[in-house]
Amino acid sequence: MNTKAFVLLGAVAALVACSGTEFDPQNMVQGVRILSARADKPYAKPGESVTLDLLVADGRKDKTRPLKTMWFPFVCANPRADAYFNCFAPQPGQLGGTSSALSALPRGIDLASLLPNGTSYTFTMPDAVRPKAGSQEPSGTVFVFNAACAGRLLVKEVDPNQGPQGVPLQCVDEAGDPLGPDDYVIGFTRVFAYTTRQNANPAIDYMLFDGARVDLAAGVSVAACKESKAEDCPEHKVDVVLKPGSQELNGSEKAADGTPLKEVVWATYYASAGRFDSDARLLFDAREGEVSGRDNKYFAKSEAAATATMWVVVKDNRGGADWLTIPLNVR
Amino acid sequence: MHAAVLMNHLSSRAAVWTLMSLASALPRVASAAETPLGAKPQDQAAPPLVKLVAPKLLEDPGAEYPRQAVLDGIKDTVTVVVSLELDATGKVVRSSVVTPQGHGFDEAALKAAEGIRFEAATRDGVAIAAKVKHRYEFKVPASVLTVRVLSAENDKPVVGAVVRLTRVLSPTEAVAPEAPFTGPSNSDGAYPSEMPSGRYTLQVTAPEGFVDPEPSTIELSVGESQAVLVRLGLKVTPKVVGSDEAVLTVRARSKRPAREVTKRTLEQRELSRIPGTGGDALRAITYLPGVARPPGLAGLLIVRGSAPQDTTVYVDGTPIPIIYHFGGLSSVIPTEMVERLDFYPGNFSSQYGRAMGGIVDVGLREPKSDRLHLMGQIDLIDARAMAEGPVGKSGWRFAVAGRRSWVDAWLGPVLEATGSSVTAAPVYYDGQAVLEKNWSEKHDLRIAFFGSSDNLKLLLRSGSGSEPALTGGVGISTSFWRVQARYKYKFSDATEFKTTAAYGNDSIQFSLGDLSFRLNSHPVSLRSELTHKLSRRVAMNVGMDWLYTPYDISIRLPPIPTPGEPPSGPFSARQPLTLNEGAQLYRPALYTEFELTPWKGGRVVTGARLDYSKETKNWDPAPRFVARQDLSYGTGKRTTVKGGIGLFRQTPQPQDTNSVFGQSGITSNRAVHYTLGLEREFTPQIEASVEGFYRDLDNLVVPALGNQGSGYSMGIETLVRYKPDDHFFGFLAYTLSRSERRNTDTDMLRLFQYDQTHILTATGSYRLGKGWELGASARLVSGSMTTPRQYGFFDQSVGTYSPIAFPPFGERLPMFKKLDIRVDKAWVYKSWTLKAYLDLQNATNQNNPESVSYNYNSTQRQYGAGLPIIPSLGVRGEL
Repeated sequence: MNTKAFVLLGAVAALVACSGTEFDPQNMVQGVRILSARADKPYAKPGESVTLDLLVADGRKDKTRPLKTMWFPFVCANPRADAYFNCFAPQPGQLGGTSSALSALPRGIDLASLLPNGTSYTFTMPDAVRPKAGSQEPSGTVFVFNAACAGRLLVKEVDPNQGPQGVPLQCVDEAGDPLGPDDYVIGFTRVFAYTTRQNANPAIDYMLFDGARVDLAAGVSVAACKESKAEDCPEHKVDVVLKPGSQELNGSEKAADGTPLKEVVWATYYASAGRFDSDARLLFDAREGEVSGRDNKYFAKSEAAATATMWVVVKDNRGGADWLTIPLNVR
Repeated sequence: MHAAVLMNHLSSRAAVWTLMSLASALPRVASAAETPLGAKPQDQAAPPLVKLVAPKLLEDPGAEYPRQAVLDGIKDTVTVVVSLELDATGKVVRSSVVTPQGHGFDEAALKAAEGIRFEAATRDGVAIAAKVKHRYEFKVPASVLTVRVLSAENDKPVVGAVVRLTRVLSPTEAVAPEAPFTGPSNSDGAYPSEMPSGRYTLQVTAPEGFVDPEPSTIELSVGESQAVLVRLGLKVTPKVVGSDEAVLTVRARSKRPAREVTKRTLEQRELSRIPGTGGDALRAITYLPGVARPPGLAGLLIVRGSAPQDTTVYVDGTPIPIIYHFGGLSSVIPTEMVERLDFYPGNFSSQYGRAMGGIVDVGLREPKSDRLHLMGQIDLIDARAMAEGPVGKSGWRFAVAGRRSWVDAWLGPVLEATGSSVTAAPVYYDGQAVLEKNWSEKHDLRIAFFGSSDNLKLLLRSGSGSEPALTGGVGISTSFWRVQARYKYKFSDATEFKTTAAYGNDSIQFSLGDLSFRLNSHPVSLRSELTHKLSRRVAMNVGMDWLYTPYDISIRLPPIPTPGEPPSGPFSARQPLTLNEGAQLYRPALYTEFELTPWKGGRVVTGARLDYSKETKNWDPAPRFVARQDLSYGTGKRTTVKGGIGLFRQTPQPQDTNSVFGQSGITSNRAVHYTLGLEREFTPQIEASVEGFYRDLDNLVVPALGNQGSGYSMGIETLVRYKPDDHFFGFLAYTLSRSERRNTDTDMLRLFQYDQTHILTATGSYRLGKGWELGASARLVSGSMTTPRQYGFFDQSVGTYSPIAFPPFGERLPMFKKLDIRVDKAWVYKSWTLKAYLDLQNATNQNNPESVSYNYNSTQRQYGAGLPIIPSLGVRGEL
C-alpha cells in the first residue's frame, strides 16, 4: 500500500479510535474509581445552593482497607486560564482560595477526620460571574475538589518534577507508604456560574441489554466467557435510552456555518467484570441530533463467576450528567 | 657609453620591462658616477680603461596587478619605473619609485622588486655594488570565461555546440564592432576563452538533437575566472524500446552567483527520483540539511529549529497557505509542474519577509513550445494528467494539469468498518494552468492559476476514553486558489522590472462535535522589483511586497493554551470561545538590496526591509547583510567562504491579535540570523558545504503573556553532493542542531518541541541502463519530542483522567531509522514513453516509535509504531 494511503488511514484512524488497544480499557473497573460527578445545577446563579453527587466504584479484589470519600470544603473560582491546576499556583492573588486553604490543613494527619465525608456535598455558588471575551454572556467556572482513598489521605509537598499539575495530596497505607492508583482517586468537578443561562442534566429513561429493557433491581445476568480474547466472546448489545428533552439547545450558540448548536451527549460504560467494546458512544450530535448505531457491545470475559456491577454514565458537554448502576451477575 | 641593459621580461600576470643602469657604489665608482659612465672628464688624464659589466637579471617573479586598480577601473597599460640599489652580491638592498602612478601600482612594483635577483655587476671582473632602474608594465589582466554545455537531461557534456560571446559595448566605448569570441564546445562540453572584462551576450547554437537555448547576458569582471553552465534540452526524437534516455526539456540558463548565504536548489532529476518521496518534489525538501523530519504523520516544514508557521511557502513569489495535502500526503504542486525548487533555510534576501524560519519558493515550469505534449500518471493514491504546448502560432504557450486522489474508493469502506459513517470520503484535488508569451526580448507576460482542495467528513460514533466528548461530526476542508500574473520588462541590459500580482481565495473549515473553525479570505498580493546595475560592481534591487487580505472568520474553539503549560483538562472540557468577525490584514513592505562585487571573487549583498502590519500598527525595519568570497576559482575547483547576519521580523499570527483568542498591544516576533559557512567544489560533479548557524529569538508572542518569549536555535549543516550526471546522483546530508525556548525571561530554557539533534540523510540513484534505475535513501534522525505523562487528577465533569503532563516536550522518542528503495523503469517508444516505478518505503520494516500511547489513567505506556514497509507503485505515460 502507498505511504500516502497509510498516512491518511493512520490519521483518520487516530481520530476514529485512540490507539493503545494493548492496554486494559477504561471501562474495566479494577480498582478505586470515581466514575462521575453530578451537580443538581450544572449552571448555577451566584448565591444558589449546588449539590454535588459522586459515582464511586470500588473494583479492588482486596477491600480490607475501607474506602473513604471526602470533599475539600472550599471552592476555587476562575483560576487563570480556567485551569484546575492554577488553583494550586503559588500566586495567591490569582486564586479562588484553594492554595491557601490547603496550606492551612495540618500535615501528617488523615484528612478524612477533618473533611466532609460521603458522596454528596453542597456549596453556595460564589459571585464568580465575569465578562469574558468570546463568550455570549458573562460566566464563571468553579472547581470543587474531592478524593476517594482506601487508606489515609495526607497533605504533601508538591513534587517540583511534576510541574504545575503536581498533586498536593497523597493516599498512604497504615505504614505511611504511598498507595498506587488502584487505591485512590483525587478529582475535581466544574460547576459553571451564569446569571441567566440554565442547563438541566440529561435523564436516562432505561437501559437495553440484548434488546431487552433492564430491571435495575434485578440487573443483568450473563454467562462467563473464558476465551483469551474478549472479542472472541459472545457479544451483548447494550444501549441506553434517554428521556425526551435530554438534549437541549446550547443556549444561542451557533456553529461557524450558522447552524444552531445543541448539546453533545454521550454515554460512558463501565463494568467490574468483563469489558465493553467502546469506552464511550455518541448519543446525540451537536448538529445532527440523535444518532443511529449508538449501541455498545459487552463481552462477559471472566475466569470465574462473579457478582459485579455495570455502570452507564450519560453526560453532556455542558457539565450535565446522569447515571445508572446495574447489578451484573456473571454466571 | 651608458652602461645600461634593457631587458624585457614577461611575468605571468603582467609584462615587465626592465631598464637597468649601472652606477658606481664603491668610492672609485662613486666618483665616476658623478658623470655619465663612459664619459671622459676634461681636466684629468685618461684613466686606464675600466671594464664594467652591468648586473644581469637572474629572476623576477613579476608584479601582481593591484586590486585597487581593478576597483578603480583602470583600463590602460600603466608603467612604473623603480630604482634599485644592489649590493656586491646582486641583492636588492633598497628600492624606490621613480615614476609614481598610484592606484596600487607603486606598491605592487616595490613589492615585486623585493623578489628580484641579479648577478652582480663587475668592474674589471670584481663584483661591485650598483644602481639600476627597472620598469614594470602593468597591462589590464585578461579574464577567463569557461562556458560548459551540458545535456539538461543527464548533465552529460555536449560536444560541438557553437558558443558565441559578443561584447556589449556601452555608449562611451568605441562604436566599432568587435569580433565575437566563438568556438565549439570540446569533449568536456567546455569552451574556455581568455577575454577582456565586460558584459557579453552568450549565444549557444545547439548541435543536432538539442534545442537552442535563449541568449543570456554575462558580466565578467577584471581578472575573473567565471564558469557558466548551459543546459540544453533535448529535441523529441523517436527512440528504440529499451533506451535508457528519457525525453525532457529544460530551459537553458546561466548560473548566477548566489545572493544568499545558503540557497539549496534541487534539479529536476533529483526532484522526481529521490527514493522515499514517492516522486514528490516538495517532499524532497525534508531531505535537505537543516530540515527536521516532521513528527509522526504531520506534514510540516521545520527549518533550523523553527516552528512550522515560521517558514513561508511561495509559488513564484506569491505566498500559499499550505504545501501538502492532508498533512503531508503529497504536495499541492505536482512535480511535473515544477521547474525549480529554491529553499532558503535562513539569512534570506530582503525580498522575502514576514517569516523568521525559512523560505521555499516553487517555480512553475514554463510550457514547452515545440509541439503538444501529454502526460498521464496513476498510482495507488491519485491520478493526474497534464497537457502543454503552443497555442497555434500566436506565440502563446500553455500548460494545464490536474490531479484527483481516489483513496475514497477504498478508504471509505475501511472507515465504515471501524464504525464510522463516512459522509464524504477523503479526497483532494489540485490543478494548475500556465499561459505565457514572450512578446520580445524585452517583454514577458505569464498568467498562471494554481489551486488545491482537500475534503473529509465523518461521523464518529465511538469516543475515546480520554476525550469522550470529541465525537460526532468531523469535517475538514482546506482549499485555496490563486490567479497570478507576472510581467517582466527589460529596459536595458542594466535595468529590469518585474511585477507579480495575484488574487485568490483561502478557505479553511473544520468542525468536530460542537467545535468549529471557518476562515474565508481573499488575499491580494503584489510584488514588484526594479533591478538596476549602477556599475559593473554594483547592482541595486528596489521592491515592494504588498499583501491585503479581507477575511471572514467564525471560530468556536477553546482558548489557545500557553506553550509549555499543560492543558487545563481534556480538550472537550474546555469552555469554547466564539469569534465572528470580518476584517482585513494589511501588510505592505518596501525593500532594497545592493549587490556589490568589490573585488575578485567577492560578493556582498546588503539590504533592508520595512514591513508594516495593520494588526500591530507597527513598522518593522529589518537590515540584512550577506558576504561571499571565492578563495579559489575555476570549474570544479571553487572554494567559497560565506557568511551573513540579518534581522527577521514575523508578524503575529492572526489568532494572536484578534480580540477573543489573542491579545492587544503585541508586536512582531524577532529573530537575528547568523550564518558562517564554507563551500568547496571538488570536481564539476562533487561539491561539499559546511555551515554553522545561530538564531537569536526574542519578542516571541506567547498566548496571554505578550511578547515575552525568547529562545535560540543553532547547529551545523553539512552536505556532500554528487550532482546528476549520466548515471548517478546523490547526496549525504547531516545536521546537528539544538533549539530551545522559554515563555519569559525568568523561565528556564526548555527544548523546543521541534528540536532534533541529529538528522542524517544519504540518498542516491544509479542508472543501470536499458531504462532501469535503482535508488536508495537512508535516514537516521533523532526522535521527536514528546511530553511524558503520569497519573494525576480525575476530571469528573468529563469523566476522564487529567494526567500530569510534565515537563512539556521533555522526553525524546528513540532514534528514527528508515531505508527506502526505489526502482524505475522506462520504455521509450516511437512517439511516447512509458515509465513505472516501485517506491519501497521502510524497506527493512523498521519499527520506529512515532508517539507514546498511555492507558486511560497514564499508569501504563507503550510506543506507537510508525509506518511499516510500504510498496508504492505508479505508472506514467508521456506523449
